[in-house]
Amino acid sequence: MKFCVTNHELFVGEINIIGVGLSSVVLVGDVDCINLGSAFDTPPESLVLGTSLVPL
Amino acid sequence: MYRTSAVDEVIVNSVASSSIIQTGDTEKIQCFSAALAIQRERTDFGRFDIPLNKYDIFSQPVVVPVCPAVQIKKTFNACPFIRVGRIDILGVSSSSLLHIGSVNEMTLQSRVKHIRNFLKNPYPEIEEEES
Repeated sequence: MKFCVTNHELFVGEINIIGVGLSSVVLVGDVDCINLGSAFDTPPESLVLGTSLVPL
Repeated sequence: MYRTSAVDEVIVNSVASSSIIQTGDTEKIQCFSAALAIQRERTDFGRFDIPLNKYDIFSQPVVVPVCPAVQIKKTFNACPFIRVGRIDILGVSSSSLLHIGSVNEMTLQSRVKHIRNFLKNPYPEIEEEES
């Protein structure tokens, strides 16, 4: 694969972010490679009754 | 090869739970976050020992697309600066990252398991329908 990039002027006035969470990234700059992965488990079965929280 | 990042002003309210604010260039970044989010009916203070490997989500692989191998990459920076006037962030948390500068490689992963813990079943009518 051949990949050619020409970067001209980049000027951002203001960035306003409430929150950056759970292995997220805010990047001001150049990057070659980003790998982001996320697993999020909130099924109905997440309802646990009783005192033991560890699955059998 | 990389451009220079110029930020006039950075305002960050809080940085928590293994988060990073990095200024300057970086070769490689690897972040990992595993969270057990428990909402309980009753508060239990004291020790809370739960092995994470009991839950599947912490051992299952997360499939991430692999970056294609670039044989020929040519970058021409007509303007060698990335300029940002102001960055205002309320919170950075859970292995997250505010990076001002260039990075070669970045790998971040997060796993969250939510548990709602009640002492008694709050939805008894649903269980009756199922049975």
